[in-house]
Amino acid sequence: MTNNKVFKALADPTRRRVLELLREGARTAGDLAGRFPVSKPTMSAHFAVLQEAGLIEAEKDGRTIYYRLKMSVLEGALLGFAQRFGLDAPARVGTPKKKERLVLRRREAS
Amino acid sequence: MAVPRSIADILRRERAAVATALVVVLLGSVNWAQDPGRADRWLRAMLLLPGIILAAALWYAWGRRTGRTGDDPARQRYVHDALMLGVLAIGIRMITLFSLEIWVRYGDHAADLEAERRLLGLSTAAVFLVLGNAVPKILTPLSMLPLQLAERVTRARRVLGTTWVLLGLTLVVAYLAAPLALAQAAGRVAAGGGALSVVAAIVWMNAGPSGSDA
Repeated sequence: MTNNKVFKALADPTRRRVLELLREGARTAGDLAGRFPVSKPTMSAHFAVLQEAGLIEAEKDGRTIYYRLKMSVLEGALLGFAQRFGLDAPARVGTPKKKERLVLRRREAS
Repeated sequence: MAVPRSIADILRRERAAVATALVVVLLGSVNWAQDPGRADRWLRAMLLLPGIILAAALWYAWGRRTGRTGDDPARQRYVHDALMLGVLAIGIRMITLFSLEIWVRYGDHAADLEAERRLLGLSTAAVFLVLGNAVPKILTPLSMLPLQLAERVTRARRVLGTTWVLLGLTLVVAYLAAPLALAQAAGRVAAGGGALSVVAAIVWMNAGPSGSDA
């Protein structure tokens, strides 16, 4: 269900921060990754989760891939609600979950 | 995400648009059965939305075979999203009008007049809510506009969408709780506000940096 994916995507503070940054405008993966103290594979997994939920879109412009915000008004309101009331999933530091690694691997393979 | 690849793909991914088209067909059939004298009208209305969805699927299939619809997936997705949003908006309006036709045939006309007007107002509110909610999700592809302009358009759409959602919510409250005269006045203000917000968004987008600056 897409709704579950949206809630899952919004439950993580890093992903919420990514969405907040994208609210200011499109950014490259490298630019976004550089703003977080986590490894690139972890950030890629976060991007994959956000893309699966349909909250961001990656688009190529020349040779650069930009991430752009793709949130409905309701999803924006949910993000604000999650930010305000901190609807965090249990904190996870380090490597992404097995499922997220699988999504990442599949993405890299295609 | 690319555009759907087949009819089955559209049925799976565009459930809201497909469900709306099915409800329109169902209500159109009921109206046809009750009022066969206007069969051609009901038939046209019933075929409109499934026709748009089918035409879109055929267009995508034809484009894949011949390569004539262009190979830019972002642009195809943009057109597809706008099309499905249109199907939803038209569908909501048709569902309300068809339901009212059925209701009026069965009900007490004089007593139902106020309820009828309130239902039409709520239908307008639903169109505001659905369109406003979805408009920011349609991104202008970077193949159509430079990044800076595309982002400006996206921001304008976000403000526009939020305005429409707020107008829709105001209308819902007005048509559910306020006296009819006040609700209808709110409806007129919302219609004016909706039109004005579109004009403001267009002016703001055009007042921005030109494509060559981006």
